[in-house]
Amino acid sequence: MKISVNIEHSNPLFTQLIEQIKKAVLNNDIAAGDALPSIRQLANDLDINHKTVAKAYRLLERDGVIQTKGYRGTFIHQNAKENSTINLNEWVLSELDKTLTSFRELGITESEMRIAFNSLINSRHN
Amino acid sequence: MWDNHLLYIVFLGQIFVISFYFPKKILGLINTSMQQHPRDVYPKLYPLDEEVIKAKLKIFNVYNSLVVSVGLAILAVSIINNSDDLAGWDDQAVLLCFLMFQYFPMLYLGAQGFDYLKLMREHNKNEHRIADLQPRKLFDFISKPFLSAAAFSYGFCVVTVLYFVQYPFDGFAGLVNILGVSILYAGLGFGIYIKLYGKKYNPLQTSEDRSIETTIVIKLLILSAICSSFYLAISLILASMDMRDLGNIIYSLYLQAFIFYVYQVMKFDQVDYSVYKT
Repeated sequence: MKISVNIEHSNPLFTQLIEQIKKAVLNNDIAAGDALPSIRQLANDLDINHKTVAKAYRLLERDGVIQTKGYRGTFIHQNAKENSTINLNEWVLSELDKTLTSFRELGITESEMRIAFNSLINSRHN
Repeated sequence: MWDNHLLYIVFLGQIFVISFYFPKKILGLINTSMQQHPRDVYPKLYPLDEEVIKAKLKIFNVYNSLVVSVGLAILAVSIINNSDDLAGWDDQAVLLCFLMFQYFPMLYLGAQGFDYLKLMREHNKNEHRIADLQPRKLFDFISKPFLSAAAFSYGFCVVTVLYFVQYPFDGFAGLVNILGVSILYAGLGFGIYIKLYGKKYNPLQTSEDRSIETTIVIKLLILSAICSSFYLAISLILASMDMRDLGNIIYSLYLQAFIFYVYQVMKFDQVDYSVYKT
């Protein structure tokens, strides 16, 4: 099983990695329990930054597509197939859309929403 | 007297094998590869002009000729003076210094190869990068008995050193020998790690070719670990029996056998050259 990235593509590299691994799981090219290469190996083979691969792996782990078992390495999650169909980004967009619509119905302006959203994000960072 | 003559013959062998036979075979492999894969059909194989490549190979040839001349001069001085030691100095020191001198052309060729691959990466305009989605593991490339042999030879060397700590002989360096062989093993282990998980230097190399190359390099690194620890143990045993001169001869023979083995495993004919076409 091979993985490829296009370094000139508009999609970020970590997104390309996530999409391809999910696609490989859905197409049964890789099965639950299969081992994945280490972050270092994949980053060096693709000649990309280690942080990019680490970010892709972190998001795949969050989505329940892969799981890291300490020093033994990274493996495909037992429920990877079901979890690969869930797109958290789309879910976030639809939830935000619902919330924004309800705010609009209450007469809250876009700038008020933006200020509130930014202050919430900033307070979490701090 | 007989051991002097044996040392001269072995030293001549070392000059011949490392600075004549091996470089000639390497140049032969490179020239054959260039003839069979010309620039107009395989342009990606040539990030440099053929003339520049030939000029660099000529420098390699000149370096080796110089090494051969120095080696023959040392031998001639030893024979003319009927000296007990090579060139009137300590045999081991001469063999070691000369070996380092013999490595210079190899280092030059290695550095040129490194630059060559760097240029290949710079010229590579392909925006698609491909990798295997399987982890590489050490035992995909070598067998467990082979690695066990390396562990055994390390153990044998350590036990030999510990024995001579109990029953030392004149000139025995003590536990530093264990430190030396441990540093060597750590270095070779790091080399194996880099080969397994390190950067891909040739951007066009196929996974299959990389796998073959990784197998060869890892085998050679482990073999050199085995040879080094066994050599150290044997040389200690010979030194304790006051047969240091025989140790020098074995050392030189070891190197020659190793170089022969390296050439046997270095093959370019299995390489997939189609990736270098337009």
